[in-house]
Amino acid sequence: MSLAHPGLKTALSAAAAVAALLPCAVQAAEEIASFAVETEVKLVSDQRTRGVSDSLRGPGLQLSAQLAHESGVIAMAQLSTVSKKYYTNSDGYSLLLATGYRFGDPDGWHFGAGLAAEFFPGAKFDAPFAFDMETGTPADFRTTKYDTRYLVLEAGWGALEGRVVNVLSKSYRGANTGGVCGQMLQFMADPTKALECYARGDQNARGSLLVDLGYKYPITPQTQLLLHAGYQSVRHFSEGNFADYSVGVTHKAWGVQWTAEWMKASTRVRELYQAMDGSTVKAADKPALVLSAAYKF
Amino acid sequence: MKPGPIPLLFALAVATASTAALADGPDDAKGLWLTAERDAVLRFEPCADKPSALCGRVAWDKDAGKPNDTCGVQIAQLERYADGAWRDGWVFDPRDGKKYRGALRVKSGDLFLRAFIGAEILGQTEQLKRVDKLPSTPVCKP
Repeated sequence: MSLAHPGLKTALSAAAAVAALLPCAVQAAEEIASFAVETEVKLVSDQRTRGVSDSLRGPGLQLSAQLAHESGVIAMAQLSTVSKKYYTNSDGYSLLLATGYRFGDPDGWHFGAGLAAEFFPGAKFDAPFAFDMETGTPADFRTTKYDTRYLVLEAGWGALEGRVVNVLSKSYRGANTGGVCGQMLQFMADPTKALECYARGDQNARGSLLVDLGYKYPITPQTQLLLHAGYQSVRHFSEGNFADYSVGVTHKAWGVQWTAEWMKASTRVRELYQAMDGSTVKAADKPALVLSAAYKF
Repeated sequence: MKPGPIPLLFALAVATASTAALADGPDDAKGLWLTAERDAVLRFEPCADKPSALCGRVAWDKDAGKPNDTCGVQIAQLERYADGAWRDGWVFDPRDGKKYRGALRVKSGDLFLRAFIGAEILGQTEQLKRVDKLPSTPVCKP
């Protein structure tokens, strides 16, 4: 039945799709697979992270490969398109690499720990890290990249998944004094908040915490309700703190996972999530219904 | 500043259902089960050569009679029943000829077949619905 039966294809796990792609994975028919690789391509109407659009509310494409070894070690690589306007000077994509270890009972308590690194090739911005109050001008211009490293801890019970992510790098997706205070200075009509931000001195975002809670409720064997709530606390820059929520439905048909999710981010300082699109300012945190289609190959 | 990711680090193992299990017995898994995409029916019954184990075979395939017909293919063998599940076995993917570790549970009347690598946490679950009889067409040849 080859995974001529898409349903059984799902059942027979991630490994099924991939073995043929990797010569080293070839095993005798009687051996039980010791690892699996799964690859997926996903089209999205809006590439969002924590409810905020990375694609500046445009469509996106995501390619991912995930590996699981019988030891419990897992790894993944994920390429996603991003907006060159939102991630300035970007090559138009981001790369997420992660590895870790997972253990426990999928129907009961299970846990995981890992490291992740996110890269935005080419993306960088120049911003002032200080403001000269005497002359009333921005000062100390430096270049910041968006690249970020993370420590990931996960705990779940059945379909309820909790995740805490700690930012290890000095900058969190561009969040540092230049990124936060500079962005506020650029986009806020009243510079008072930006000047207050600069008054705190040169700070970084290492130690920021991202918390996520997700739940998948099976409506039918092919359809699930998706619930998500998250919160991010940006160290030294509370202006960047916000909660995000999403609710959606996912359904598998014709071998494709179809998903519709309503996503909302309750940002505190919306100017931090804006970008110039031509001559207009475009908000990346505007709530949206996000549609996606994912296919494993 | 851009928002941080929700790393999909652990997305390898997504349990599609994890409803609390009521205590089901080893015999509850026996019978005919329709896949979620309604493209095959599996029959689970004691293995012919080892009655203490549970075997699963394709009893009906929507592609029966076609070149990719999989009627009769054994797709699972689980050695023992313990703690509410058939365990210590394998599931088989005829397409690539690979076997994976497997576990089988009946919860709330549905069958949950889990294929995994190493430990159950690294796998995926398929939910199947019980059926009383095979679809009338196409017919799997004996």
